[in-house]
Amino acid sequence: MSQAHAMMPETLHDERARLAFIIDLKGCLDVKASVANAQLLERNVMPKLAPRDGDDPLHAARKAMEKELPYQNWMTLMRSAQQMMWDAVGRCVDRQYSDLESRAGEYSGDEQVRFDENFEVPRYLTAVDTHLMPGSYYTQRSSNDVRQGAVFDLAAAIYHRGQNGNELNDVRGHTIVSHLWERFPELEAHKLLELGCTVGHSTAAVAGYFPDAELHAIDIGLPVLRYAQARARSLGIKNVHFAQENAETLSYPDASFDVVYSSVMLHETSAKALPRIMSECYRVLKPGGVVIHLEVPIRYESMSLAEKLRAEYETHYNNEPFWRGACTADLVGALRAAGFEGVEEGYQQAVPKASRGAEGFSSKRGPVYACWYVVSGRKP
Amino acid sequence: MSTATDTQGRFRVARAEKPKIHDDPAIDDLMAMVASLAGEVAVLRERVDTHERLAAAKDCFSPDEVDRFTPSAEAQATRARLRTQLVESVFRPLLAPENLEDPGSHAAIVEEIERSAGGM
Repeated sequence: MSQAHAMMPETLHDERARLAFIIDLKGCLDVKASVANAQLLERNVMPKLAPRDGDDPLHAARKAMEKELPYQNWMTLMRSAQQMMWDAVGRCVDRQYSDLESRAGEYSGDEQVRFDENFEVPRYLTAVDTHLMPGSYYTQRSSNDVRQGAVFDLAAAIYHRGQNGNELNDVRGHTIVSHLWERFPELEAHKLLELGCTVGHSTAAVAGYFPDAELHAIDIGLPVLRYAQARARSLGIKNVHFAQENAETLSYPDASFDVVYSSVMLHETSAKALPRIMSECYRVLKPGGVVIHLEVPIRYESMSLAEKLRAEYETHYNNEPFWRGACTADLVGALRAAGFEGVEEGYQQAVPKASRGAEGFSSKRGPVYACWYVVSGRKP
Repeated sequence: MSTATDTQGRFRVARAEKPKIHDDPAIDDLMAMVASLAGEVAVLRERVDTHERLAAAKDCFSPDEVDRFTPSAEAQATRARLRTQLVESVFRPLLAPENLEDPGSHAAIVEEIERSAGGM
């Protein structure tokens, strides 16, 4: 089976069949069951609800729904499908792990991901394993371990059902550049920083637009960073430097970068971390520099009760503890408080390739994958 | 601890509170098992599909021949035995006859055996 890049784990016949089943199950649960859930909510649950003044109607609706057997069945299958995905992907990676580690070593050579022995992975990432991925982004067995990177890469390749750029999973990266060129067309990007790069899906895309620029990509997880480095080198990308850092306390000097950006990273932080991250974005940007945060196009203020209920599932049952927090946070306010000007939020049309002059940023929300929520601003 | 040297156990189970979704938590596990089992059935079915396509490509036999296959009397008998075994093992808890061998309270038996005077 031909691969988009040389680090991607291979899949054998039965592994592909298993993963295809799991993804189809997830698709079935998401599409059909969401319709049924909305009907159950509207017809059976809402008419019986009598929330008292001051009660959060969403909380009351969720608690009532969670007592309904069809909704309980849906939740159990959702959780099972997610666990099955990580289990199947994990076993596939483990089968071929020594080959993967050797290959990563070949592509990276002597190059090490920069790390600090005293680094502490923040609690919002160690408290629970994000999206039920056993071992999360940071667990490693040795100083060469890339397992969690391989697991994440393979899972992401199937999870999005091809809607984020198939195995390269890079539509979000192209969309970030599309946003940059639309809102800040005159900005010259010589030095860029990506926060929370994981395995470099967006990083590789962004790097391609600025071959003469210097990119830095940070994450809290060493095994995903090592994999990201090997993956990027296997794609011929040489201008990205990977390092283990916490976006709340960056090691870079003031006024280092022209662009600081993140791609679906904020929702994996916390309410306390958000303002610190925004401050750090401001600090490390040069005057005139630009910050861009891309997130899931799931904003509570623009969603129906049924849609919010679906988002609540992520928060409470899919180990995304800051999903709701991020989807309700005043990100515009957070950037302004950090000192940014010209802060705007909206939805950027997803593109497989950015082009100058395109108009894809508006307040009109589209479906996930067709667009992404973006908030951006400029340092005066 | 920022990093953890680890055994494979850390990679099999996610750090998460196990939710209690159904009123009876046994149902949660049961549904999870059914979902996995359905997955394995899907895998097997796909492998059979591959076998049939490869066999057809090499002119061994076609899927149509599989559809029209008539088992011999011996084959039917073997299959009947296999089906009975499968049903009995899968549905064992439901099919077991009324417990004719029920000796009553196990706790009482343990107590009796442990009693030093007047015990068994």
